[in-house]
Amino acid sequence: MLKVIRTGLCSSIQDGGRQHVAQFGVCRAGVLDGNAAALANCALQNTETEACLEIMQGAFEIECLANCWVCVTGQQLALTLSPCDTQSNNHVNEPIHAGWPIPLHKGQCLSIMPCAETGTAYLAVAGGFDVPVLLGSKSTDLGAQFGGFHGRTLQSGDTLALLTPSLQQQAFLQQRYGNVHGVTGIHQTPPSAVLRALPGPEESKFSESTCDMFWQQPWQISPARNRMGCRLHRNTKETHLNNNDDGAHDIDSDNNNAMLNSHAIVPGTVQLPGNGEPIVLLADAQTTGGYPRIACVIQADLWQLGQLPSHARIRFERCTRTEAWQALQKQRALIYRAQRAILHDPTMSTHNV
Amino acid sequence: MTTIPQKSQQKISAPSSGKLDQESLQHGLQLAGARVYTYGETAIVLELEKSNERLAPGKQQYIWALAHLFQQRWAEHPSIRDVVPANHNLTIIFDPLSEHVTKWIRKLSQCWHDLNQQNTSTTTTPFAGTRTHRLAVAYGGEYGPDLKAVAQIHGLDVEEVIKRHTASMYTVAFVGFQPGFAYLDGLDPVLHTPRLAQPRQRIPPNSVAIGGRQTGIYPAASPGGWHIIGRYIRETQASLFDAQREQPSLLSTGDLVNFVWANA
Repeated sequence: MLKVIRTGLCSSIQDGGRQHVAQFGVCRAGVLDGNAAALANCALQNTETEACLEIMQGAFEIECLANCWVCVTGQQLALTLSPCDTQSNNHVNEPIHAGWPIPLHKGQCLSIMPCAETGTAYLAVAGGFDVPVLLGSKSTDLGAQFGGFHGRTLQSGDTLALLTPSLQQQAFLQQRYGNVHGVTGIHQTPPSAVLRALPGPEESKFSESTCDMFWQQPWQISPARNRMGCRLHRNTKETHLNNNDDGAHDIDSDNNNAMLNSHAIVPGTVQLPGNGEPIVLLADAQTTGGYPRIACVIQADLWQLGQLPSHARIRFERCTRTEAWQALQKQRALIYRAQRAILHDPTMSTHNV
Repeated sequence: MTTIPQKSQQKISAPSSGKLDQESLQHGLQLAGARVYTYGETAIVLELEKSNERLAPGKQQYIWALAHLFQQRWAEHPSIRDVVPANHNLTIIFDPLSEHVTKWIRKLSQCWHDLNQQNTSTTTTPFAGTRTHRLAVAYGGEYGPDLKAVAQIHGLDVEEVIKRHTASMYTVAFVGFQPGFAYLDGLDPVLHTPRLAQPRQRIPPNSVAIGGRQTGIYPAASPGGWHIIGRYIRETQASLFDAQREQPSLLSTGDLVNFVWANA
């Protein structure tokens, strides 16, 4: 069991997300950075898409109520392990490595201190979290408030039940990591500022100058972002991201009065509403919408929007279907290679992922 | 008509050039009465022609029929992630590494072709809803803050708006936007009302609303731009969405819906 001591604004339980439910209006949900979550799970010998804690925005601290193994992945994370009873004499904050299985003992606290460059962190536990499977997934649907931990983000004081890992899994972790300390964990590629994208179905409905602007100019990630989507700015002014796309829309940015019918939305879609500021839709995007789709960020690059900090500057790079396919293939191969490395090489440090 | 190459792909390989080249994948394939185009590397869309015209009641049935073909047989197509019907279009979302996009374009085109063949040879509709829902609604007052405004826009009195809203038999065109939100076709043309210029930050759950030429019920609180005319009486009726239920959405594509004025 783990008890949440401190948590940021949006920590929730997420796995690989839902499928076959869009016809009920239910979003995909699931982790924003599938690579980081997969690596954390693989390090613990869980299945790749087992549910993890997805930790966004702010400091996070958890108390261990019963011994277990955890692994934290993400970008630029400072992890410390300390006794929860701070009155104790031998109070030490032991820095530990991300991307490495950690044996947590009862009474220990694990904290994640974010810095300006910190993206989304993933905390996996050996065996997985004991939460109900709803509509085929353990993911929290924050909009519809079901799944995960009582359908909501975590709050301090929450107690999370864990599933018991198999004896084989426990033996492996103990033998491989029980006595190894101070080794750098799996290295994760930092997010790139270039997001490759395919032209969207409505790209041709925009004027050439709008398209040129979209593909050529740098964009800044707005702090008005959540699991539904990420708004991009030309400058730093702030706006709120609202889900109010409940019908057809005019493509008014180009004085084009063509009305678009509602259509399905897949994560990665870049909508360009009338105000000219693109929105990249993410895992919790609504299932249908009517804003014109100027581009689609390729699946292999979508994780970066879970890791790039607010205010980061990005740009889009037009690519081909073949490139999109190859990039995804390459990404899956890297995860597979990490799995092999974890099984066969106790140091892992030489294997950059 | 379809120009899909009949090449078999035993092994999954990177997209190769052929008749379905980059250009046609991007701009779409013209079928009889519909167009198929790609959407990112994980989805394809079949869109009925002239879908910008006012929804002809029969046309959406083709979308339901196509969706039904896939949704009844998930096990046959393990690489399909979702099949999503919307306004006069259907999207198939798949894992691009498991199957090549051309397979799904071929499959969808074939299904479309078969459906049209069947339909020209018989007089039956391609897909008919099986369920009818009679939903009790409290109109106006605190439940329908926009009812008066809607009446004013159309020069009707409030009672006339309610009578017209309850007189129609609606069909669920598709479910989207939020879990269990059914877009209902069949709104009396007199009641067609443009969306609010400034969407509301919060619409209470179970609000019955009119947006453009459609009507619907918001199952959960959300921002939204439709005119709220009443409230679905949740206390005495099934919830519109329940993730624990086998059929999580009360309303599904093709269902018939009729509203009953409960606070007359």
